[in-house]
Amino acid sequence: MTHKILVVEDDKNIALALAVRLRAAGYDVITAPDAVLAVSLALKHRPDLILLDLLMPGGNGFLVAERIQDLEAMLGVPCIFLTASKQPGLRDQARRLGAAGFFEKPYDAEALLATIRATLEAPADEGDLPDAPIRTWIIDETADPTSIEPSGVIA
Amino acid sequence: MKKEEVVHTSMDYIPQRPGFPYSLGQAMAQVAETVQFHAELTEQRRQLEQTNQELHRRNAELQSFYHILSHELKTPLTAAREFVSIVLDGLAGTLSETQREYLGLVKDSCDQITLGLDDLLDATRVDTGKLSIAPRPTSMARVVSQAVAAMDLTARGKGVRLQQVMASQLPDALIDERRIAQVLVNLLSNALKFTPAGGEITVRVGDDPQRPADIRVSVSDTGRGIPPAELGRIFDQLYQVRRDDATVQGGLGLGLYISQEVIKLHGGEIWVESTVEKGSTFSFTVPQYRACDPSVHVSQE
Repeated sequence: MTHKILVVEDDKNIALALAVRLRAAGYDVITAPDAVLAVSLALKHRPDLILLDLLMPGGNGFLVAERIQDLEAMLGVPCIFLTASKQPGLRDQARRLGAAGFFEKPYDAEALLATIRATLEAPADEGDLPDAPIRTWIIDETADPTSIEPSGVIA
Repeated sequence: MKKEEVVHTSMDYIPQRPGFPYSLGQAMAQVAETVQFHAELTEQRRQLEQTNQELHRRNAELQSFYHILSHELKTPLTAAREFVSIVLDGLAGTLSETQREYLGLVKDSCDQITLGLDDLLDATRVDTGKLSIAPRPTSMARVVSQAVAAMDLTARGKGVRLQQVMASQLPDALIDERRIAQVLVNLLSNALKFTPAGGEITVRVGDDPQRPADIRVSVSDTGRGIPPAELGRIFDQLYQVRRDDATVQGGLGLGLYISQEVIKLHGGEIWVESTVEKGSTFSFTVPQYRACDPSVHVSQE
């Protein structure tokens, strides 16, 4: 089955670049340019994973993620956040939300794809973690291209 | 207003010391002057406080502006870098070797802009005291090996030998891995910038002979060295701008300024020793992690 990914990104060039990458990796891609459309497209297409920019017109990515995950049909859909912002605390906020990943822009496409693949292939821990709203592990990977940090899994 | 009691005698007419009133008129004039002086002082103080507040506000505004600037520049930069990567990865057709090489240079240039923007933000954080670290027990040997591996390709490209010497059985360090990696990459890039082809860069990691509770890391190069007059200033912000010889070396010149702050936040020291025409050694210390030390608070994930 082909996995469906919703890309929520207001910059149309980045949205296109992400769509090109994801389609080349064999995923179906839907893009939403703002928070409002993101919610309605999520409901309509029921994506398997959502890739979210943090600063967008109409609301920030964290709010969109919470809103979507509150929908019954979208319960447990994993979210990966992308941001060009260096405001401190964003990574921790993503972690608290149970994000499947957090990437700084410019992102490293290979690391991003690896996180997406791992997230989609991970078995849902429904029996083990009844209280966890979504998968609770994070691949902590800075997208700083010169970063020497390897991708690693943080509990 | 009139705090002092002035007693007039015949001595009043003989000036005793400069500034001392010797007549009622002069005494009154001096009181008036003092009152005026106090009023001026109060006004100046009020103005200074106002200016100080204004400067604080501007500083906060400037920092927000730098955040917005960085965000707004990184957004198109991300698209540029990613489309270049897409083409490089063969998703838009086959490339010739030359095309591949040139696009690789575009990608590197994008990465340099990103580093510059990050340095700019970090430098404003240092200025406003907002740079912070989250230390955790970490293997220094691993952090150093990764930094060396990350720079190895660039070093090879320049014909510079990059090697590391590690003490065996090194204890863990209590560091913010991301920030210490930033310091290492910064010191290594500087060393690479000033070391000619055929030169050598050595990274050493071991105990600190002066401070047994610390781990010392040093980066030595066989570059052109730093003149003694410059040594005291190279950790200054804007050192690059204030240089006398005004030769552009590339970079914003903020790296050492940020590195110094990062090491200070770790409670360590950073310093440089250099001989002109022989090379330079930059060293820093960071604390060892001691599991039994009750004063050490390790934040848990």
